[in-house]
Amino acid sequence: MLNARRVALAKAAAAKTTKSGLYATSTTAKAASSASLLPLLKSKASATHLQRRQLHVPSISRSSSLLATAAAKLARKQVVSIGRRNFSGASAHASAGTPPNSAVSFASELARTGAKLDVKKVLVVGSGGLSIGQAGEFDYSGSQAIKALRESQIETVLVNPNIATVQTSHELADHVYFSPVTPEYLAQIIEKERPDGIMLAFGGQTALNCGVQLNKMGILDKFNVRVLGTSVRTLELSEDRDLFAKALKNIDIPVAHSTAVNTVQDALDAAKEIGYPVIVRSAYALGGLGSGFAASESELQSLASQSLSLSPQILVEKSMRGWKEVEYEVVRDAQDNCVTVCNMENFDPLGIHTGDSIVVAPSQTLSDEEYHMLRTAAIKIVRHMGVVGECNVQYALNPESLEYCVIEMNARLSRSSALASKATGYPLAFVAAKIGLGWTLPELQNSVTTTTTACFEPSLDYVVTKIPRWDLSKFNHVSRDIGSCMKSVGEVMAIGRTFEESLQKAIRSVDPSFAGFSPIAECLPKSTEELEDMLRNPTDRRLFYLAYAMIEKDYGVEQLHSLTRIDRWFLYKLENICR
Amino acid sequence: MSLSTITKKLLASPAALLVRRSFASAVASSPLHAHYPVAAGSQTAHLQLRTGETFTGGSFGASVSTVGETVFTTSLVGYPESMTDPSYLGQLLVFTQPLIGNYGVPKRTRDEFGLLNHFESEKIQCRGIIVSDYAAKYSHWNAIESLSEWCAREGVPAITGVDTRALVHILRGQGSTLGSLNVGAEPAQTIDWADPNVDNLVAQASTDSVRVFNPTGDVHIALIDCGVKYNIIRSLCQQGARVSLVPWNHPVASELSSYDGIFISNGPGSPAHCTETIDQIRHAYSVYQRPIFGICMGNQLMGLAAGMDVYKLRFGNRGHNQPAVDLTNGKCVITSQNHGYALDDSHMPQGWDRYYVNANDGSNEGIRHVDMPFRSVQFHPEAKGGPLDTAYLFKEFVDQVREAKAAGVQAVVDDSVITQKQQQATPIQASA
Repeated sequence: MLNARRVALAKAAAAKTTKSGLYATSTTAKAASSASLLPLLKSKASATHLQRRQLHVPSISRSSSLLATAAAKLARKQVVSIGRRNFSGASAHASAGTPPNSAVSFASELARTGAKLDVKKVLVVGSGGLSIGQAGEFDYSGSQAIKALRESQIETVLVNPNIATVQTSHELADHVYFSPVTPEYLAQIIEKERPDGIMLAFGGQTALNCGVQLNKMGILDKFNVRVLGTSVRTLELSEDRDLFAKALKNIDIPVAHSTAVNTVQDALDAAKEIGYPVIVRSAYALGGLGSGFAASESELQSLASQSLSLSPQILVEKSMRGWKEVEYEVVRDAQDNCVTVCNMENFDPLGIHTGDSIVVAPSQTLSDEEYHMLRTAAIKIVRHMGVVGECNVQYALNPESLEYCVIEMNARLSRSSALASKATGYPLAFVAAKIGLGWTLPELQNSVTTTTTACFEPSLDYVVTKIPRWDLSKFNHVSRDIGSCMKSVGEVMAIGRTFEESLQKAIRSVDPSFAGFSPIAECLPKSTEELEDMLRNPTDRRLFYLAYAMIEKDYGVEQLHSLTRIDRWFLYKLENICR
Repeated sequence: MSLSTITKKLLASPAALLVRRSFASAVASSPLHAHYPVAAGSQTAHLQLRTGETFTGGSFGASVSTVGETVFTTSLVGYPESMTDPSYLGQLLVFTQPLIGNYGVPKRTRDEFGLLNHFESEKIQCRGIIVSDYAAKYSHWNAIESLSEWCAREGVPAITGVDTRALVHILRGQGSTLGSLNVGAEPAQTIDWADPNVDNLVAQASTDSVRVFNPTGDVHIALIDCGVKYNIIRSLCQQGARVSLVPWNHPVASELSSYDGIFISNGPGSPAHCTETIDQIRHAYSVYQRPIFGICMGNQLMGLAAGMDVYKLRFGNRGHNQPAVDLTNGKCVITSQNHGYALDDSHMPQGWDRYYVNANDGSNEGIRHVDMPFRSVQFHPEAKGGPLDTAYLFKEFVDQVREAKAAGVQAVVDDSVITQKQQQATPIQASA
């Protein structure tokens, strides 16, 4: 009796999802997903999917340039006189009655109907279980990618063992495999499903590493699976820090002088040459795992042995602690159109993993010269490496000159791209997936504004602050120091018209007990030495020690700057809050 | 609490405000008057738009009052470059980026050509600036003074605490409006609304004598100064050219044979005022055989000389993120833009083609001649501020000039060919 009711509910739920589209989450469907009903649901899902496939797909003439056609169409249109100009801003507000630009909407209509490349079925590799350094942002990017593929009427196969993500719900992907994201399982799934293409950029480091492995194993060639978006060669180049440094040297982009080593002794020798303090980075690692600073031989000894246990290759570099850390999110398509969607500046200077830093978007202390110098370099790097899709480039910028250095590049979607998407409203993962299907940026529409093309850099009229959230109290015997190895479990983002507003909102969002930028009970130092120590060495609570120093101890901006090396502009703004 | 405070509180309560407002709208629509709490001791300033809206905020520039065309830019960085851009002459500049003044004002150093490194002209060109949150304390290694000190020194008023988002929405809805920026306790009662666009702003911005830059350059380029940005001169000099900066109404047409290439710069205001420049260019089209290039105002002047029309955009395109599609190869570039007028390219005159088009609103971003090396773009490839994506256009232009010179192409055609061309050509319509 109960079973029959459940079946009826499931049928109703399935019917509801077809009508309400991709965004509906029906609780009845979730409740009804018991084992006996899974085949029923799966068949329902594929039935509705087949219905969608039967929709008429207009033929796309691939020979003529779509843009030329769109431009020609526009040319035939009468130019509107004063008063009915289409605006060209990033805001979604349209003045009443103004039609969207016909060139954009014409081209984007085609982008919605299919793919430019000859693919019918795509395998999207998810990121797997949540861990520190790899969390909800990959759920975001995976979901967006699947939505983009669905819109283009591609059959999607998702591999992600995490049942607690949005992307694995049955409304999104056509086939979901709750299996671990490892090369062996992926090989089996590829053999069974025979996809035409595979997307590796939406599952973080896990997906990337698996993709590289699969390529090495020859699975992708064997089953004729095309890597959509950035090629495996580019992924290897960007992840292997040694190859990356060599590639950048070819285009005269300064990159941190580093030596790749495989043994502890080699590391010690390299450090002797470079000079202490040094930073150790692991290749092929996510969240800065295995990275750290070493100020002496003994420190390097322990750090290197630890890192080499996690990764086969480590890089020893000169430490640029105290330099500004800036990053850019770049999108490039197969036709070499390149845009930088967002740039972000770290509140904390170099030395802390960007996932653990307080981040401000857009950058506030960069002049036009610096901003565009780094932007041009980012585009140059992305073009040289041959990234197709989205990419993140991180720089260290000397706070006293125009000298800069590339720290790293991630040729995939990352946590900062999730932040950039939310901060700017530009759907990075969605656009990256469409680019993977062969569409070019001018042909795509920015699905958030709906009136501007995707080949457009959003301009913000507000400031965004992101503060990471730590749960270090839940771990025993772990030091509260934060450094180049990521320790945060999540982040909050706040938007405001002033930096003070944005920061206060963010602090209050991190934990309901925080009132804002002011000292808290757990962070009251007992002596000046303790206070200065807490300021000099970043911890998850440094912001509150700053508040204590400013409010209770009347520390000036210059003094705090020399202790923390945070840019004075931020300290002036914090002072504003205190006054 | 005294009775007066209670009454004040009552009158200021949300309920009372609602009643007052609705009452006011029932009786007569009172224009918007936005206030910003100014710190005690600092001066207030008022931005009043011609259409009645008033924004009261804090003054951080010179204590003078001025009237100008209120325009906005969406650029995130580069306020020193924007403020010294002669294209902003006669305008009140609103920044959509709320935090302005963060990195102060840079040093006045000069490069090897004698041009200021960090500014686009010798002084602030706009009539006033309007920002949301001015950073009183700046922080940058290259800064020597604050934005407030610079504005005060140059006699330019500046207002902070304006809700620039609301202001931009108003401007987007009704178009660029005349505004008055005055410093004082109360908004001005009587304002002399003198529209700067009525004057020939190009004549004000242009140099009044010929100046030569990089005299050892191998090719000689005439740069017609309609309000040139220094980086245009620098970009040409860096390509190895000798640049003669000539006034906007200089008789270039009579000296064509002495130039290997002609470049027409950007400039403020309406292109319709520059009838002399348009005539010079029109003559050049009929006899000149070497490359001609134009930027921004140059694009409009070249278009007018070719017989096209110009119209005023409702609120202009000003920012560093405008996408333009190159119609010759379909590539899309991000450009820096600052223009209030645009060419009407719905019907191209004979021999001319569209070169670039704005990917967002379809407005014209450049024209080019089909046979002759005459091209122009509406955006700013020299950037400063803005993206450097299209800086290659300078190299292309100077390379073209060199090729033409090396190939022995005559600067000016012979008289016999001129008469032949005049007989064949369709009459070009004069438009202003």
